[in-house]
Amino acid sequence: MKRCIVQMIIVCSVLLFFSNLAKATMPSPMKNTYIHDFANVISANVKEEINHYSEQLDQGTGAEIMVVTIDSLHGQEPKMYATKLIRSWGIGDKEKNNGVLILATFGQGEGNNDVVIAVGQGLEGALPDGKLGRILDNAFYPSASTGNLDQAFQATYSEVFRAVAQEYNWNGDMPAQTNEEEDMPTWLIILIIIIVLIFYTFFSKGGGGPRAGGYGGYPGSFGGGRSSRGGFGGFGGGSSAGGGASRKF
Amino acid sequence: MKKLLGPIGIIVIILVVIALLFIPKYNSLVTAEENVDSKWAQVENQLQRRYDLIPNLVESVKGYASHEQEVIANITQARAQMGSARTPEEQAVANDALTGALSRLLVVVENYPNLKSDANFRQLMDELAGTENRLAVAREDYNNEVQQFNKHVKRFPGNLMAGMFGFEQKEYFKAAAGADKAPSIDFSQSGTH
Repeated sequence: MKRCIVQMIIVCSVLLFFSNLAKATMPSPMKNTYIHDFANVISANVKEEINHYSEQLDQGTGAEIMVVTIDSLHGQEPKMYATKLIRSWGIGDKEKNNGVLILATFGQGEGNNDVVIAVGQGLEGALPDGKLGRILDNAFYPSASTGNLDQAFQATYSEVFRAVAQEYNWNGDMPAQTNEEEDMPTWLIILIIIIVLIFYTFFSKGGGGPRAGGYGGYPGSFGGGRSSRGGFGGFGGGSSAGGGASRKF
Repeated sequence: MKKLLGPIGIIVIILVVIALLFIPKYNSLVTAEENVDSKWAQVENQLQRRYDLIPNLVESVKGYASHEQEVIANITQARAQMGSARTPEEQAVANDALTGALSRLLVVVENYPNLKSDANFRQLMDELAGTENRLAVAREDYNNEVQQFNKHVKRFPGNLMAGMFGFEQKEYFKAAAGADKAPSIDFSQSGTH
């Protein structure tokens, strides 16, 4: 009889442990924010920017773009995990199902981390899987692989944001484009100018050092410093049918 | 007259009670069946979408890896099997076969960096992987509805109604072990950057 009770206690505690574990893998949303940086990798002014733009877009169109960083998916399939997160948090409007989730892990080791963009059915037309994959390849990966996470999230967010805004013909305040594809030519132009200046100083005066100084920030970086707090107190109850794309980085 | 009214009254009351008990049950059975059907339609949508994506994928693979005949043939065959499957069980089996054939393709693709970095191929793989995920989601939704429906059919008084009106238990859409993991491709090493 005693053994029976002991066994039951063991079984119960094991069950409890596993049910807690299952809960622990799905974080809970906070109120009044569109960015959940659980992994603590994004700087404060980028967070503020993303919050600002998402809030504007939400008020204008009902579409919700959420950025989430966590340590690990505990071996779960990234797209499925993101779909479940959209559903359990209810990201997006309940009728329109127009939520977008940009989710990345940072505790699975370099090359094994997952990044995924998942969308609700309502935005599958504006953000088909192929396009999401391209955004991850062109906007997220180049910066993330060199450790510039702020830039990676800004560029990815900006691409997603523009696609959603275009879908609703919404022309409010847009985040600046920080796409690598557009940065490279600018970078080259500056380099050419420097080279021309060097040649100019050499050939016109027959000596002397180059006078071209350093150049300032990226052409399209986020401004920073804007703050906003609105009446956003929870998510719209949107769902997802599982659309999205993912990559390892 | 009074003698007759007694038994008739009792019968009427019993009939009313039965009706009150059974009509909502019947309606909830019908609703549950509708839910199962609509979720099944979602599963079929995704199966169809997958079926439609395969020819394009095969074409782009042929462009870079034309001598991988066996892998290509496997995929084409699995697709044909999927096209002729009718019941959920048959479709689940055919779907697993296709998943298997696709994951063998992904192993082969590792040997063809040009194919791996081809924009068209990457897009197709993203669409395909997205479809896998949608299928997994639709399958889970469907199975949940089937579970609800089967509960109605098995429990009293639903089981009486089900027998009377011909509601039968529904099949789950079962995936083979491991098949619920969508085939994924590691793009990180061969990006176009």
